[in-house]
This record gives sequence, structure tokens and C-alpha cells, in this order.
Amino acid sequence: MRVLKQNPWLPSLGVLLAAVMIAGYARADVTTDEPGSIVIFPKVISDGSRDTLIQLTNTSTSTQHVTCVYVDTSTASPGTCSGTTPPVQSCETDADCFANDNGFCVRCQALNYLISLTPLQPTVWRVSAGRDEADQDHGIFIGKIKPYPLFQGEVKCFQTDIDGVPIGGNALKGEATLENISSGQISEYNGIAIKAINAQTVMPTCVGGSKAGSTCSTNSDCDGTPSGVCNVSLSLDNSEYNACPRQLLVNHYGGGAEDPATGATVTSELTLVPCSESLETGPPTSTSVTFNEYNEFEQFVVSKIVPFTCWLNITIGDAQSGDPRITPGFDVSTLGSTFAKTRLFTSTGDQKTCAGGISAGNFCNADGDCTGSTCSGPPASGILGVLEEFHDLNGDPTGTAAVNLHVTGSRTLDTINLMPSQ
Amino acid sequence: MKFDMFRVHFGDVGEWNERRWAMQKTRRVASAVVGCGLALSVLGGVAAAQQPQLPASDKPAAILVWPKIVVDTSDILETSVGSTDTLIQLSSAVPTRGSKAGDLPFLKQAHCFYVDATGHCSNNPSAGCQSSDDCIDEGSGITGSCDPGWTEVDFDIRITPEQPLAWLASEGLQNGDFPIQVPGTCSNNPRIACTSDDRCGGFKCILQPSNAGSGIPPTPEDPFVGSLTCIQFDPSSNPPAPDTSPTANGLIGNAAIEVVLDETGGVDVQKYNAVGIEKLCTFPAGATNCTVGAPISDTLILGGPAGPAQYQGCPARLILNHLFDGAEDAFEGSGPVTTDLTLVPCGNDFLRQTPGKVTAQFLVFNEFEQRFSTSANVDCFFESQISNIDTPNNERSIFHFNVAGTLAGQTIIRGIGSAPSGQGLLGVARVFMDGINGAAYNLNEKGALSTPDVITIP
Repeated sequence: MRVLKQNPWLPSLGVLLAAVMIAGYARADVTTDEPGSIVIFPKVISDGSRDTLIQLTNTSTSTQHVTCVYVDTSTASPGTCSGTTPPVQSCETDADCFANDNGFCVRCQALNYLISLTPLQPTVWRVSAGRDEADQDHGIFIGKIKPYPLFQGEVKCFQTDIDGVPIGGNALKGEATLENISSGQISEYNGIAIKAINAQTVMPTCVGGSKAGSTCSTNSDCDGTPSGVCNVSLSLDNSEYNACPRQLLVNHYGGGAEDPATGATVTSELTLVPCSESLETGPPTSTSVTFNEYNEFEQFVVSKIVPFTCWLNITIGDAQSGDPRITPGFDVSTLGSTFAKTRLFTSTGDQKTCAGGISAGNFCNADGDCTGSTCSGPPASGILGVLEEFHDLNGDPTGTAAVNLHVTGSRTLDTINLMPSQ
Repeated sequence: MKFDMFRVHFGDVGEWNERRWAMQKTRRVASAVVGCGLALSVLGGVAAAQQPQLPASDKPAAILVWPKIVVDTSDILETSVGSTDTLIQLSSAVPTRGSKAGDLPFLKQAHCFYVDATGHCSNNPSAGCQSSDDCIDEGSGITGSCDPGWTEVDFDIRITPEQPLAWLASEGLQNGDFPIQVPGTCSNNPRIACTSDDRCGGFKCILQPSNAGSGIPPTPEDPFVGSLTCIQFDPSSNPPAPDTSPTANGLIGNAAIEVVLDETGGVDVQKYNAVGIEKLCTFPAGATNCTVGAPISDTLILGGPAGPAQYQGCPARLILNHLFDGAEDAFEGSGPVTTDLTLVPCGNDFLRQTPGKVTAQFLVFNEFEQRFSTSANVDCFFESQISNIDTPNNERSIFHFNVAGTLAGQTIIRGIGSAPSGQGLLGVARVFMDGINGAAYNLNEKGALSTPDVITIP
């Protein structure tokens, strides 16, 4: 049960705000143009050949505390089979899971770090190097983020109180710059901000166990017979926080198309992350994304459904290099034009999904549609993402560019669960 | 975990009252939101559809602004590092209805304006320039001045539902280049193009949404430095006028500044989203009504008082997150960083060929929370390496690492002025590692202007 802190209120100002909202001018979308209370960097890479610089800024005139959660899907994070036979089976490769008919190997480790930003303070750190309070050569840094020489995934930063509990305030903005270390080529995109609508703090409560529903600060407060987990649940429902978009719109090259400006061959990577997540409190989120592609002739070319767990980085390339889940279809030969527009969406409302097993997150209508589980999962999570292009000209250093995706509509079904920073 | 907080007290920000507002904000906003929630429960809950308050680079809109378009295919400008062109992408976000007949009412028209802000050398008026460095006469050794310019060229694009279009700024798209040229085909022979049944010898002419009537010129000169603005029109009105239909916010766009690098022969690509300004709409009982504001005429009102406002207002402040120029080792072993900022006024008078004029105030904060400030005039178009905004000597600039002392900076940009077209600003930034490899990114926004910006169209 959620517990809200009580504050004094001014009803006249509240009624005025309500009138503005009813008139239809209130904010209700994720944004890459304004500060928010949650900032999401969907594509963060550190692997020796690429690195990522994260810039995070406090746009308010008061000190802000921030919990940044690194969600790592690289081989540096432990793998767990997606199936349930047995429920938690460690793995290094998919083959380890196939041996037991236990799904495939999922890597999705979430770890949080607490930092603080003084009023109007910008800060920056490299994912490969991290940063801590010993590094004050180039400015103040309050907190500690460990180095990740190997990382592939997303980073989510939450505005929190001093105890690490998420609060509103909409003070954070950020950018991520990906660099190809050998060539020096860089791509930059804006962090995706989710604004808090309700500025009140949502208190953590025990989930599960004998103390379910009790307020807590750490997991130890939920110890009992059985024990539970201390969890904060943030609703992206246009009441507590802005909702995730209903659809993403992507303008992109056909896979392997020739850039008319330079003659370079262009491939793209589309990176998607789920809106709903249980960060450190539950299993990784599985969802299914529908890709509806249109070419320059307004022809509907293809529809593909791609399930994924935790993080998706899919290549839009030619017939050889394109990801087989969307190729043929997204390659320039099938597309029939140089440029395409694709709508991305997951299910909303009544569409059911598989609750677990190797079909976790897949759309379903009956239990028989789900291998190793039942058709009783939650509505598929919404998605957020970013696009990165790679322009290859005669093998010379490849030009790269990242761009934020366009969004349309909103869905009020998503929830982020996380632990208060320990 | 608890941390000892400390604050560096800097100069007074009284003119914006931000610190005072912040101290009171926590109590009042939380209080107001509780009151708001109670009021909404009485009034019937949150509206089913809501509209953002500020322009956005990631949502469909009625007006798109690409603040920076660059063409220099012959690598003439001193600042160019190779042959440069800009690939402009424009798409309709209007969903298809699944048939040509169903899509026909949702054909949109983008009425576009190239703003040519290329300067010209005083000693060679036909030569484009960005600075006097481009105006050196090698024969005589005389350096001319780079005189600023402002002209506009307008054109129309018809775009069908879901259709992505793209063109090079240096080339445009002419008749025959567009994907869907044919407005209709005969029912008895799809190879026969038609606009009416007469053409089909007794059979029906099946009309379809098409790009017929579109023409995109190349930029008026090369080199070219300027911006592009497109306004969504309804082609079914006679004459076409700004769209006020329920699908009035139907355009998305981006631009990629592409360079074939002299040094390596490789490619550098700097891509950003066009900034979108939405037509104001209300959503009575689940419908969409975009006729909000004063009747549409040749004057488009962006923001300001609720009655006349037809479109979203421009932001009161832009926020530029950047690395200070000259900072090294942003990445391990990387050379000095530079950032290039482009600003354009929100409002323009395309009818009387009078560009917007705004004074931009810059407040610069480093990681020590220290504040510096400067200002600059945005007369139609402003483009500068940030460490040249306040001084020609980069290393003495408040935007330089030598002065700021930290890697990261936050610059808040506010427009002021009394020009009839308003005081709003829009912009885009580009960051360069080693002066060659670059990336573009959109600026953030905060707060809405209380005064309107105005776009006047011919």
C-alpha cells in the first residue's frame, strides 16, 4: 500500500491548475526538450571500442539528489535462463539454457548509484571510468559511480530525496555522447525526461512477505517470515508521472541504402528499452514491439513483431547485415525506396502477454500460445528509444549520428519499481 | 546514504528571482498539486488528451524549424572541413486510413521558407562568407568584411499520410523527383495518369494523395548558411491556408549536416530533430478542435495571451548543456572540445522581409556553480563557436575551460527585445572532438514566454 507524505494545500491555486488541465494545455508526454524527474539514456556502451560520456544537469536552484540505475546487458553481468525449469538457473550462453529446455540466457543486471548536484550544477562522467569524490580536478562531484570497462544497456536517473526515495521536482536534464575510440567519431542524443506531475513523495513499502504494505527504508525493514522486498512503485499514468508514448515514429534509411549526400552506405541501430521495469526488485521486463514500415511511396511494406527482454539493439541493414528478425523487410531492396518511416508500438489495454518462460512478453490469446507459461502476463510494457546511423564510405572511418525518436499519444499502464538507494 | 551539502554563493540572480522562487516552490507546488487533485476529482478527472506547453523536437507539430542548414559543396568556407551538405527529412505523422480514397482528405501541405543568412564579402559581393576570413583576396592581399544578409525563398511541398520525404539542400526536389507524382490513375488502366474522369474515356479517375504541386528549390546559393521553417497548410482550402483541422499537427522532421572530410576521406554526420511548434487544440469529449485562437490570417500568433494565441508559445529560456571549449580528455586521449551554437528568432516577418531581432542573454554555470554572463544580438540568424560569443580570443572566454575551470557547463539563454516579431529563440548545438568529428543535439527549454511571437507570411 502506497503511503503519501501530507503537505498543506492551497485549494484556489489547485482549482486554477485543474482548469488549465481541463482546457487541454497541460503536459502529458515524455520529452527530450525539457527537464524532468526521471532521465533515461537508452543506449550506453562501453566495450573498449566505444565509450559513452553522460552529462547530467540540475536545472533548479536547489540541491538535488539523484539515483542513477545502470541496467547492464553485457557479458559482464550474470546471466539467468528465461525459463522456469528450474526458476533461477545461471548461464553463460543460450546453450546452457537449451540443455534444460529452459529458455535462453538473459543478462539484465541493475545497480544503483547515488550522487548529488548542487544548484544549477552540470556534471559529466565517462561510463568506462566512472567518477567519485576523489576526482575533483574538473569540478565538484558528490557521490560515486563505479567504472564500467564493459557495459551495454541503459542508464536511468531518478530525482530523489536524501534517502534515495524518488521525488518530483523536474530538475534533471541530460545528454549522452557515444564515441568510437579509434576514429574519434561521436554521436549525441538527449536523455529522455519523464516529468513528475505529482510532486509528493511516494514512500517505499514492503512488497511480499509478512510485512507487506509496511513502510520501509531498506530490505532489512521487510525481514520476516517470509521476508519481502522494500520497493517504490512509480506510476507513469499522467497522474503521478507523465505517461510513456503510445507509439514511436522513426524516420530512417532503408538498410544498406546509399546516402545521397556522400555516397556512403548507411546502416542504423535502433535501441529500445521498456517503460515498465522492476529495477533490482524483480525479473527483467519482457515485451513485444510491432514495427510497421512505410516507404516513400506511402506503401505499407511490412509489419514485424519482435519480442525482447530488458534491452533491444536491432540493426537495420541490408540483406546480409540486417537483423534477421526484421530482414528481409527493412533492407533497402525490400523497402523499395531510400527512406522509410516506421511506427513502433507495443500492445495496450486488453492484449494479453505470456507471463514467463521463453515466450515471456509475447502477445497471446490462450495458454497454448505460451511455451512454458500461461497467457496471464501484464499488458506489454511501453517502449522508449533512440536511433543511431552509421555511414560507411569506402571503409574509411565510419560517420555516426544519433537522434531521438518522435513520440505520439500516451499510454497510462507503465510502472517503474525500484529499491530506495542503499 | 547522507552527504554533507555545501553551496557556493554566487552573484545575485535577482532579475529572475529564481532562488526566491525555489525556496517557496516546494511548499506551494506540492500544496497546489494536492489542491489540483481534489479539484480535478470534483470537475471530472484529468482530460483524456492533453497538449504540451512548449515546442518540442520529438513530437508531430504544425510548424517545424530547422535552425541550421549548411551547404558548402566546394569546401569554400574557412570553417568547413570538407564538402558539406544537409539532408533534410520531412514526414507526415498522419496515420493512413488504409485506402487512397480514405487518405485523400489527409494530404498535407508544408509551406516552407529557406532563410538565407549567408554573408557576402564587401570586396566580392558574389562570394558567400561566414567571417572576414572568407574574404581574403589572395591576389591583392586585401581582406574585405563579411556583410550579413537575410533573404527568404518560399516553396510548397505536398505530403501524403505516413510518407517520408528527404532531399539534399543543395539540390532540392523538382518535378519528376518526387515519389508520388501522379494525382490519379484511370480505373481501366493504372498506367494512365489523370486528374479527372475526362482523361479516362468514360472510366473513373481514381484520385490519390500525391506530391503533385510540390517543388523544392535548391538553396539559393552555395555556400549557404541559414535555416528552414515549414508551416503545415491545408491544401483543400482555397487558397491553401494554415491547417486548423483535427490533424493540424502532422509534421515531423530532422536534418543531417554531412561532411566528406578532407583529412580522412571519411564521413562526419551531425543529425538533429527539427523543433516543432504545435497548433493549439482543445479536446472536447474525445474530439480534437484545432481552431483555437484568433482567426487564421497572414499573421500566426505563437503563445501570449490565451485568446489570440493560435500556436504554442516559444520557450522563455533555452538550456545548453555543453563541455567548455578547450577541455581535453573528455574521452580518454581525446583532444580539445569545441561547441558551436546556432540561434534563430522564433518570429519572422516573411511578408515584409523583416527578420526577427532578439538579444540573447547567456548565463553560464560551471561545475563549481560559479556564474558568468554575456549577451549577443540574434539578428535573423546567430552562429558562433561558444568561446567566440563574448570575445574573439577563445582562451579568455567565459566559455573556455581556461576560465571556467571545469569540464561541464550549463548555459541558460534568454531572449529579450521589443521587435514586433517577438523575443523568442530556438536553436541547435554541435559539439566537435578535435575540431573534426562532430555531433548535433537539440537544446532544452524551460518556461513559456508570456508575450507572443509572430510569424507573418505572404
